[in-house]
Amino acid sequence: MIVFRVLGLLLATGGCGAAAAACLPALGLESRNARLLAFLLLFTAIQSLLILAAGLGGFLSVWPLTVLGTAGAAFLLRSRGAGGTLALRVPDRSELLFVVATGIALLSLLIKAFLLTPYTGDALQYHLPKIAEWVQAGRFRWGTNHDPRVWFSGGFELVETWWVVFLHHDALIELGGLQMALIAVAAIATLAEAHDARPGLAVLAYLFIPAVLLNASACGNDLAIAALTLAGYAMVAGGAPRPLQLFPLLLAVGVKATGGFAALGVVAYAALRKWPGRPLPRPASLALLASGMLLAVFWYARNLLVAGHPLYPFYGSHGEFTWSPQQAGVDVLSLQSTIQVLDLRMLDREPYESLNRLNSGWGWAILPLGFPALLLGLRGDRRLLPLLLSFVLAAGVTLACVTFDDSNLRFILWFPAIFALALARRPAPVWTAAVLLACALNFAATLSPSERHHSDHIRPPASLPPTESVACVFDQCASSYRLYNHDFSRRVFYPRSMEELRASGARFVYMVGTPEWARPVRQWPAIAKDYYEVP
Amino acid sequence: MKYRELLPAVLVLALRLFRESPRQWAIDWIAVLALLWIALVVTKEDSRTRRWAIALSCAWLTVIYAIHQGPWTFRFGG
Repeated sequence: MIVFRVLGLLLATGGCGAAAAACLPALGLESRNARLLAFLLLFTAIQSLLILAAGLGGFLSVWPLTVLGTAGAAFLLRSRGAGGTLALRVPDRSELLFVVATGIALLSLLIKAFLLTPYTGDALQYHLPKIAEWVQAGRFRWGTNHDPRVWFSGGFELVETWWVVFLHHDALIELGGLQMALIAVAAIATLAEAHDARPGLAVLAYLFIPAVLLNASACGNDLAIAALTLAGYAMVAGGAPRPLQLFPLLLAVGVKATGGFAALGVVAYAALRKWPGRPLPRPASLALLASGMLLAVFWYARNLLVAGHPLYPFYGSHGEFTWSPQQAGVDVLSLQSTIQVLDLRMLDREPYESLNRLNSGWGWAILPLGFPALLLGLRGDRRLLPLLLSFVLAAGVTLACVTFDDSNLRFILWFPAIFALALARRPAPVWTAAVLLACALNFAATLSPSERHHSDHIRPPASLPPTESVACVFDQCASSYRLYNHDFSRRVFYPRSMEELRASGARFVYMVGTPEWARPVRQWPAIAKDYYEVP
Repeated sequence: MKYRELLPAVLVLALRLFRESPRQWAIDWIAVLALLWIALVVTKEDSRTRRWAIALSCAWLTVIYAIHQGPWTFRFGG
């Protein structure tokens, strides 16, 4: 059975790739890097649309998706021909070192995808439980539990669902992060090409940033925002037609609202550059904009329909949540507070983490080398200035629109790309050597993510029977994803009263905090810390 | 013209030195960048002095970063 599931994943993924390649010629891109970037964006959009359709239609499982993915690709290939090639070339000797190093980073992420299980708080609390519920039900389920964040946009969850739904197992769930790392790589290469920088070195300097490496394997969506924002900048820098510039930004808005804040910077950058003057054919424009709009607007439209406001749970809430997960508006104080601690955060005085707690997580290359390189770059050539100004604007808007907390710099994970570009413009070999050394340090320091050790205590205990259903009781939030098991074989209920708990039929309770109604549960027979047997 | 270019860097340097205690001056990365800016303004393009100024500031920044992150990178392994 597993062989057929793997075959289904390969066929459908190949189908998405073939469909993306078939659409590529209509975009008329000349640069290899821009073509690769457009291919990856189209691939991601097609993959997301398939999951969206399957989730809404109730056929979110291996066979319908295999048939749909393969048949759709066959139709596109038949009607449009084999499509554009990516025309990847053999790197010359000067680039070989960069390509090998990038390959090592990507290979390490691939290996981590097989070895690591999800470990970061946000992912375990509200990103992944949604996916587990969808895969179990074979369709979308809204309002999985009473953590208000389950109502956030789920664009990245669509991508992650792709990597688990075929196998009905989460062994490959981190491939979603690797996919985003690939988009970031192609975006940086395109940006570097447009700014007379060495693409290989720029890619290395960015990909080896600790926060990037860790995010790629942590099932968080901040790298997705960074990659799609950089893709927007890259399309503008590469002079791509306007709909193609807008496309990644729409995908970003569908992943997280911070994508919309960062998009302001891309719009400003586009306004500072000359009009690309290369219109797309109308059908291609319409297809790009329609699919992008669908993936962007879907989550906000769902919130409007289900809960009465597109920005639920910030607005339109009926009082069911005891806390607000974000500030829901512009607050200049948030920006000011971040600026005041920025000098300390840049020093990375704590271990690197995907959430960048108290850190920037930008690593050994950015502060010691990237800042001087940017000063030099700005003095030598003013062409970097519009890009820097738009980055600063986008970062300022983003940080003013999110709550100031220990880890808010993760929302601007795209920002260090400007330093990577500045570094890649330095021609002297000593800069290259220094960047390579810094990358090696970053790589070594992130090989074993420190957060993984912190999350060991939330592993379900051995005394909990593996397929027995569990009631997860919590006040504000709980890391419930691991309760579902790797193969999503366990049912998890989220009761909000003793009656609901009894009615669920669950024989065990996992309790985080103690809601008023659940006080008696603490007196029930415990099978492990925070785990109780229903008497 | 040259002196006008110096102004922002001198201002930043003065503010940082005023804000930080003298013990912290040597490990203030913003002050180091301000000094680099001043060096870039007062030295000639492609001159040996400028190259030394850049090398020194990068090395200095590396030491500052290493003081804070080094223990985690080398001891903890991540």
